[in-house]
Amino acid sequence: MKRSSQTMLLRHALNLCLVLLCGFILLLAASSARAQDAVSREYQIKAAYLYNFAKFVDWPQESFTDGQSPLVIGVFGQNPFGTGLEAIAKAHQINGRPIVVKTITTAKDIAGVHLLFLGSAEDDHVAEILSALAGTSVLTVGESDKFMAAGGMVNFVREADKVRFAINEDAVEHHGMKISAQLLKLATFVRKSTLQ
Amino acid sequence: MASVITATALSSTAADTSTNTPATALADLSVEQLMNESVTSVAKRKTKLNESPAAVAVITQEDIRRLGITSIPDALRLVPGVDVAQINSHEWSVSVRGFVNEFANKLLVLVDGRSIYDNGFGGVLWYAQDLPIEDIDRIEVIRGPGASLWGANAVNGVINIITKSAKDTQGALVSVEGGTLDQPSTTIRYGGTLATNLYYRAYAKVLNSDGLVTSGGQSAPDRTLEARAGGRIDWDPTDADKFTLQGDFYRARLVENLDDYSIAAPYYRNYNAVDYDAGGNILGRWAHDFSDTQSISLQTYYDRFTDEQAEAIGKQTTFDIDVQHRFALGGRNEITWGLGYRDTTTDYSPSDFVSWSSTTAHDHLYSCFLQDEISIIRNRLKLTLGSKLEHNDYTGFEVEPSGRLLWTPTERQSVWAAISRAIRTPSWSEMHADTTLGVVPASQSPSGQELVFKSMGNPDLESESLIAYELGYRIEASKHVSFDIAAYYNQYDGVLDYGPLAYSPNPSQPYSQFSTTEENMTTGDTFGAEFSAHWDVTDHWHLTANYAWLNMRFPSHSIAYHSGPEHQAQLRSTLDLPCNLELNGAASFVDRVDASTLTGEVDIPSYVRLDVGLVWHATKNLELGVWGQNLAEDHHAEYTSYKTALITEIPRSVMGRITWHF
Repeated sequence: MKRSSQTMLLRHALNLCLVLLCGFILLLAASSARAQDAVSREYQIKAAYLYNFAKFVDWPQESFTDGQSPLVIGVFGQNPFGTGLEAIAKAHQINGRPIVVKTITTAKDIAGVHLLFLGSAEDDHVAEILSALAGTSVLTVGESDKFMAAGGMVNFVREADKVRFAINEDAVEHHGMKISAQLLKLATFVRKSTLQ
Repeated sequence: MASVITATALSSTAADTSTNTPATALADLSVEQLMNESVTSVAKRKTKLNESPAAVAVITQEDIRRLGITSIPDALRLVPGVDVAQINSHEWSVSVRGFVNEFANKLLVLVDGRSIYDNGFGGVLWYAQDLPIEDIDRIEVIRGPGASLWGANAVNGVINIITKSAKDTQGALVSVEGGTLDQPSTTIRYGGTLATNLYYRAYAKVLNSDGLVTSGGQSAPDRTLEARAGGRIDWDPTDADKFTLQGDFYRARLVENLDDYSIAAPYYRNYNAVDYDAGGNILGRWAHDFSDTQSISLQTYYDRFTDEQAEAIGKQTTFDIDVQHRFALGGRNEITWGLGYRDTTTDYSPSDFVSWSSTTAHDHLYSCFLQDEISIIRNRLKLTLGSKLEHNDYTGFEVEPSGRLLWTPTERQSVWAAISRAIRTPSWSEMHADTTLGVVPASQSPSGQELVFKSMGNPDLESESLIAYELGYRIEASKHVSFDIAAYYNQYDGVLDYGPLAYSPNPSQPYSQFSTTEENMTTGDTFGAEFSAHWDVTDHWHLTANYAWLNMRFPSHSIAYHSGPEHQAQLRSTLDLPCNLELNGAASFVDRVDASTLTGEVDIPSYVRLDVGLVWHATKNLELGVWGQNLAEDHHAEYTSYKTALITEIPRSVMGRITWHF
């Protein structure tokens, strides 16, 4: 058990250095992997919300060709969800309908879309896009004050570190859709004119 | 690193990224649940208990609060298969699947990733872990070996005590509790924000216990007075980074009854010794998420304490550093690996009846582990293979592998099986303490010399080892009813036991000595099962039933004293009443156990604990609670101490608590 304490100390110091060195190499290796940093948690939550919203909205019958035709979720412009939304679509159905995710680049691609997400990156032409949707039954979901001001329907709002949402019920009904009372109850804010 | 290590394989917080991307996992949540998901919380969604290939149970802050629990050992009574036996007001035997002992040594316990296993005497100094009970977020209990991740001494189980983030303890809290057993004990805590995403809390706590009772119902001498203070800072500068800095220190004055044998007259004394103990620790941790499938954490801590056992003083200083990295490899593998180094300095001083063959040590422990979680059939069949490899200065290299298979035939049920190896390294006192067990005065001795009975330390001890076979099944029978059953067969080898008493008529000494030495001489096995059922009768009424069965087959008589109760059962109820009232209660049965003291064998009869409490949320910020505890019997014994023949019992008591948040 008795060993030269000096050599032992040296050996332990070397071993400790080795452990630390390995740790640093590991850190470096890991940081290089950062490039593929995936979608932020916020957009994972928002993707899950989009799927949930679709469950709580009744579209007019003419929005679908038949009972099995897919429910189409459109993402305007840049897709902030990564592959998250596609993964949800692949794994789930809504009332027996498959879910299809479509990337939309111009207003004319919107035909056939049931739910359209407009990221804050599109803020500059949000009014333009929304006005192009007049007379259609597309549930619009956005994430900015501008979106709501321009007549958007469901708007994500951040409350501290949580994602909540506001609903413009007037706009939803004006476009011929019905949103369930259950979802309305959970919204942080509902715009609904009392004059009917 | 607690939650991170925990996150790897076994426990309820295990990350599950290989089979589910987080987005799809989130899609299974309801809108209400999504509304409460934090965008800053790490992407590791808590895996349902259903997905752990081990016998895992979680005690929440809510369980602790409702049942008027004041100490961590008492909280552990809520888990089936954990045997908590109180020895006096500051000592408990906490064991899992057998081997009850004042220094129950086959269990690893961590507080926020810091090991609180005492290498000096083996086991955990429970009195030194008297954290403000309100600061505990949850306690994760893994029954069965966890050595492939946690290393040596995680033989029969691992307990992770996890405190709240400073972010969750903002504002002020004053909590005062007292009753027929205790003088008022007070906790004061304050939490605030230093800058955006930079939170802190600080606390101070004083515990003042009058002690329990003797078997005659008289007041026992085991007084406890303890003061502690500490704090924690949490900084989340980005969504992907978390920094934690935390620390505690305490001083305790403990009174314990001692049977003291010495070679000189008066040979035997029984008296109440006063122990002064102190300790403190500081821990820093950085956790970083590179992506949903890759994370790293770095943790380091410094811990020192002084512990007095039978007037022999042990001092231990520990420095520990760990790094751990988790990443997905291909679509099916999730790899976790880590490196660790621990430096421990120990220093012992003798007392009348304990002397040391070696008093100081400077030990180094190097460890690494690798684990692969392989998704064989996506969402259905998962295999976890891993091993720890460590090197310590006494028993050299130790390998602790495990293999765990989880089959999830449906989302509501799962079957798991595991084979693992674990080891326990000998403690310093087992290797070096020479303890006087008894003295026969010369006047009564046939040889005309004093006769001394001693147990001698054995520096050549090897590790005890275990091969464990486990099997479990869980089912969510309906939205409101769930069952969990785990069974095990454990084979132990090289378990320490006392060798034959050797007589050495010692002409050079003025006395004759009989001595025994602990050796790795015993082999044996244990088997048993634990069952737990949970029923949400209504939204406001919840029932939990637990049952544990344990069977130990060891040829040794001395190990029989440490076997533990064959049957344990518990029924718990929590009920919300109108007018902001809660009625909560628990009834527990613990089977008889064999125990021993220095003077002989003791039969500890079976007992029933009955606790009932009423909690009133007077306002949003003020909570008042009153509990009747151990109502079933006047007093009952739970276990013995090796230091005294005096058995301290737990009496019926009433306790009240006022908690004010502002």
